[in-house]
Amino acid sequence: METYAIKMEHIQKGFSGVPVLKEVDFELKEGEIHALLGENGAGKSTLIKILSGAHEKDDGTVRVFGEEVEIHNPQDAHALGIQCIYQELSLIPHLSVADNIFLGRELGKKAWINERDTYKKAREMMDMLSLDINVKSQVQSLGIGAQFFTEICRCLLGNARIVILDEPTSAMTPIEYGYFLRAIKKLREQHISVIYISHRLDEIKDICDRVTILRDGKNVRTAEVKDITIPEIIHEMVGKDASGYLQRQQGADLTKAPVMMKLDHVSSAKIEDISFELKAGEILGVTGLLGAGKTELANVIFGVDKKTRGTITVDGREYTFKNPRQAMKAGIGLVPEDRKRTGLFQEFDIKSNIAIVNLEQMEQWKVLVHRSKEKELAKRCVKDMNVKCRNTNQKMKHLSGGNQQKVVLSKWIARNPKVLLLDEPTRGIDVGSKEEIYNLIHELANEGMAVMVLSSEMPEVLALSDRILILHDRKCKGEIAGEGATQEGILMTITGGGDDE
Amino acid sequence: MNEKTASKEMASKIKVFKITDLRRYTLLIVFIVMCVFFSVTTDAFLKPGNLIDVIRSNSISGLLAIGVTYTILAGGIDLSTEAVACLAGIVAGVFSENLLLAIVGGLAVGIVFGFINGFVLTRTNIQPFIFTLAISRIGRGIVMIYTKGISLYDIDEGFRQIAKGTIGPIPVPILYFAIIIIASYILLNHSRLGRYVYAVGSNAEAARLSGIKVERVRMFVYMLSGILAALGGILLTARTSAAEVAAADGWSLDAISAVIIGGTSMRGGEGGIFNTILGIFIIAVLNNGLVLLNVPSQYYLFIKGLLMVFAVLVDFNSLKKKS
Ligand SMILES: Nc1ncnc2c1ncn2[C@@H]1O[C@H](COP(=O)(O)OP(=O)(O)OP(=O)(O)O)[C@@H](O)[C@H]1O
Ligand SMILES: [Mg+2]
Repeated sequence: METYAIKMEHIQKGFSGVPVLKEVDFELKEGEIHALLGENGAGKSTLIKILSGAHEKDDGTVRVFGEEVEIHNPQDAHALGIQCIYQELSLIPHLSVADNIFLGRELGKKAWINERDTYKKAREMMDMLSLDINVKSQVQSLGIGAQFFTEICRCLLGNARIVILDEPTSAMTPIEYGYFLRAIKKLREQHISVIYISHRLDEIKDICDRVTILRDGKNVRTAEVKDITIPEIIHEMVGKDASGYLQRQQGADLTKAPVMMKLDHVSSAKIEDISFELKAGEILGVTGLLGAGKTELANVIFGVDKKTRGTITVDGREYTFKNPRQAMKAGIGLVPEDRKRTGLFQEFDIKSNIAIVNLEQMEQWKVLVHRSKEKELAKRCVKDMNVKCRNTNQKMKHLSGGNQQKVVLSKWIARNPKVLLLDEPTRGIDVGSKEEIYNLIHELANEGMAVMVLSSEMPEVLALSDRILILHDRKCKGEIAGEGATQEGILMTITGGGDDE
Repeated sequence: MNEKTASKEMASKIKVFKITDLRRYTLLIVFIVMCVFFSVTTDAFLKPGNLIDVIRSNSISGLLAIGVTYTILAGGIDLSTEAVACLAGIVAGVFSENLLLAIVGGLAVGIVFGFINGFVLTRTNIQPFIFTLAISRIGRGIVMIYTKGISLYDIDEGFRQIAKGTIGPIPVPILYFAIIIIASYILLNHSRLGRYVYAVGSNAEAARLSGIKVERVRMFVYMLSGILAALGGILLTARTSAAEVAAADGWSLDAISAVIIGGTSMRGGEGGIFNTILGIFIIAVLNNGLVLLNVPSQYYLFIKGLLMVFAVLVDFNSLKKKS
């Protein structure tokens, strides 16, 4: 008889009467890495939060290593050896990496903390993962990758027998992903069972042994990874065949299109000397590694960061934006990278989030907000984007991660800007919706919008763009289009000449 | 090679010099400059008698500032400290003939009020600012009802000794203050509980998911704040030989001012006991210097206000740089 690390049966869970999980069964074998897949809002996060003690189930049974258990809170889960790394990383921003690793199980006798041991042990753990992260630095000063590895160390340390990863790689660069694979290998070596949630399906084959697919709060299929193909997975997720997104029509005739935005030797504190032209109807991809300056470039254009040199021309007029408001007035829109911190008001409902950048459209007597117009716009956005929600009065924080991203996208598109900047537009979005969003971006461009897609996901940039600008180390490293536009092409441009240091 | 650059890239995100450090040093520099300035411009400032006096006159109100530091670090605030101090002082005054009863009775006031604050604030969504303000009114109200507005000047001699004597050249209130500072430093920087106080203030949800009992930590900080305030009230009665109905008037806000000027973040999770001590003494030295320089007293408030604006500006700047 096989031992199961986890066996969940007939799990039910609803939020204020609305069922989210309907009779879900899920099994995790000992020592396996098991992918949990499904569309945005399918209930993946909810399911694993029941295991980690963040939510309580309404009904059903959970067995951990054969024993039936009740998990009421995170402590219960920890005691059973279940550790979870959430979609929204949960570290203490003001504490150091080492302190975070040992938080809740500090080293030292009785009530006291032994600092020297803490740093030493933390250092050793980072060495074990061959990472060069200063364990004394505050977590808030680190990038997403480093924060994730801090969490991994927490798991390795907590005598975890079961580790749950909720979309760990959605914000990782290819290089960080390399480290991530190594961390996963460490987990496997220690015979830890892993539940792995991701929307990057190509990773599943690298990492996982089995997959379980959820659709609308029910499990529809469980299979060995080697027995299932990616199109089959997508089919199970969305309940229909993938149509495949349109590859951007290369060489679309833009020669006659007017230039919408032009940057001429633009510098800021964080980027150096960037020049390019963006035509109406064109999609310009911008890619590069972590810290290459993509977000910083968007910030300069949008008036968040100060421009120190060069000129920005939008629709024939030269501007120096002092703040985002001026940039918006000139016809620029920005979907920011970090939805949680800068893209959304978590406590507001959907309609207010959409309205906040579209208030001009719904003015009444100059000062009041036209309520019914607000509602109408929100309804339209939610429908166009296929946002999974109860209604437009639902609070942002109660939407699943991917659906939050869709709302951010839709509110900016509703403004109908001349130039739309998209910073990591599909982070955390499922394959099906990705397809829809890609098609939508193509459509927007076809209607004459100038679009700039800043993304570290190379396939995304390749699928979307007419031209690709490659940033490295805050400078423009090159531009490719047509034939040269391949993953290898991009990597060559990044590394070419960069090796001599 | 590639991997190395990558981890370097990650490491490069680590700032060499922390903004919070910069901020702490700015204030330390301000403090030192102030001390040097007053030493040069006045003869009296550097005299040991004067310095001890400056410390002594802040060592009772300083207890309230230390208490409120805990609540602010944990992401809350406590506006009830002055009322607790006043009521504890009255209780101690009433029982002053029996030393043990006076101290236990006074501390009991702190424990009860701290518990009420903690109990309500961990179980409801009421904002700490509003609730502790209301509790402060209630505390002061009880004082008025109980004393009918009449202060007690009949304080037992034996009881007065707890705050009167000196050990060597050092007045005992300074000693109590020093002990509480050291204990707080150790607690906040070297104990699990102290670490949890920071964690809860910095990101309560993450703390909860790390298995920290957030409610218990919050309860602890409010209880401690109450107890320290009560201790302050007891010592105040002993020191001034009076349990006055308006005792400790305005001390809650003074305590919070000291915490802010010292650089502890009102958002929680950042700062510490040394920041508070620095804040207390920046204000104290400024006050003392102004007196010694014969600056008319009507200017004090204005200058103190400016000082606070300055302290907050340092914080504002650091915020701007961060994003
Ligand atoms: N606290 C809550 N209150 C009300 N509804 C909620 C709450 N949490 C989640 N939901 C709803 O439950 C559904 C499932 O959400 P869940 O976060 O589990 O999805 P998911 O599969 O993780 O999606 P994603 O891939 O986008 O992260 C969503 O429709 C969401 O709106
Ligand atoms: Mg999710």
